Amino acid sequence: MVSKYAWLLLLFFICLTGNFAKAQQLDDYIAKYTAANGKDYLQPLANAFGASLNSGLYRSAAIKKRSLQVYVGLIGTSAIISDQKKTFVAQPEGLFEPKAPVEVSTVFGSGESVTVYGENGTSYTFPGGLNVKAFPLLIPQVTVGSWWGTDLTVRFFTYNFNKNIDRVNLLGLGIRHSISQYFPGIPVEIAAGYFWHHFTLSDFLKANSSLISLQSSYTKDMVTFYGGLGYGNSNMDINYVFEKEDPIAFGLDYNNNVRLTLGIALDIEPVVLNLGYTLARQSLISVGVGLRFEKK
Amino acid sequence: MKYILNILMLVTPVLFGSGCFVEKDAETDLVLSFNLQETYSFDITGGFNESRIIAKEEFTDNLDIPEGARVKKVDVEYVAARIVELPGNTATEGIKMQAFVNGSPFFAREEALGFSQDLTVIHDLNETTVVALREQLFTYVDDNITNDEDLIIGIQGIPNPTDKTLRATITVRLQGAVTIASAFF
Repeated sequence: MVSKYAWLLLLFFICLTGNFAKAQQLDDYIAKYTAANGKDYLQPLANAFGASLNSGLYRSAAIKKRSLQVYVGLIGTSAIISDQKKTFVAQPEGLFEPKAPVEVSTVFGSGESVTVYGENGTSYTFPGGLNVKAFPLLIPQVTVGSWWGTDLTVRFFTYNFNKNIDRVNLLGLGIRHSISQYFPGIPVEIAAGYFWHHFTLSDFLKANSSLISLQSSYTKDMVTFYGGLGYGNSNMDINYVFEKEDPIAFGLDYNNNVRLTLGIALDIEPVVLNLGYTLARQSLISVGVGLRFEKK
Repeated sequence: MKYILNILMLVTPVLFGSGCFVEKDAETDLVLSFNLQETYSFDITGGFNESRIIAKEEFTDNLDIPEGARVKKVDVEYVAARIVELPGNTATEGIKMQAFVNGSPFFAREEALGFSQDLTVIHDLNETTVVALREQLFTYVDDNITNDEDLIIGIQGIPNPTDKTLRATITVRLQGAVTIASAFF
């Protein structure tokens, strides 16, 4: 019963607009699958979610040695869902025969179901996907510095919706340290950082992600060009009920993911706008809108 | 500079203004599982003949079909049976049985079944009965068709050996699914 609303709230969290009056229970999409097919059905979601959490974390590598620097912003990311992330090869589950493999939709794939036929009028239907072209996420973020060239980032969201969803929580923490402060005179700023996120949606979904990154930026007037190389890991634990009878639990990993980020930021004090692109197994776009305060 | 600003101003609402980037009004097929399972208890010598009535509401109430959804099809995935032996049973070889849906034979031939805690799939079904059952269940869930006729599922059989006492429970399970199409957003 918890998951009846859990999927809707996950979408509420990740989607900024959308007509939820018609929204279906997303757990019905996966309730047809046990862990074997369920993992492949949901893996693109785990990839997109993990990659999105690890994105939009910085828009400059400049961290002063010791000065008050505060950034308060809203980070929007959008994972791009390519065609190969929209299908997987599944086999009928339960006691249905034959167990012939067939190409079906992932959670992001076509809405069309696929039916395989057995003997004597029996048949088995695989559910469709959500026809998703991209996967957006919106995250509030505060970054405060600096102490000896170090700043801290916090991302936080929590809400108790109703008796079915007792909690939706996001906590992200990050620390960055300026490398360029040790090399006076170099024309670019360089920083290294570590970021960690934890997301829960009642008992239905738990996700963790982490990112180690080396960042660089170059500022000319109001424009900052930034980039970074990162190494990220994420995992997602899913719990639901198969065919209204059997509880299913499994984990999804998105590990060993090297990412290259390039972006541009516009600083119109105190407003900072930025646009970035991350090239990885799960590529994505990030946009930030925030306010920056700095003690001169 | 103004050019960059304009791009950012344009990209932001476009990125966030389209929900989950789902094609608007695109339908998605949901598959809702159901099972019709009946368990019969026997303490008899000789043949048995039992039936159960399943009302339309008994079937539809468990499906939780969302309002406005379009029903596309009903699947019968498999039919299985299980016979669990009870103390005092002397029909040691099990039973020979046939199942019926609204009086029509469900199995292609009489099945000989032994005792087991696990469900045994019945591979040879009567296709005519399966198709008729699918059609009846479809009328239960499709808003455009009214059909209040009950579904009657029965079993008939005899212990093996035939002159022995059968003390057992017989479970017949029909596993299926209803496919509906509905716009997510």
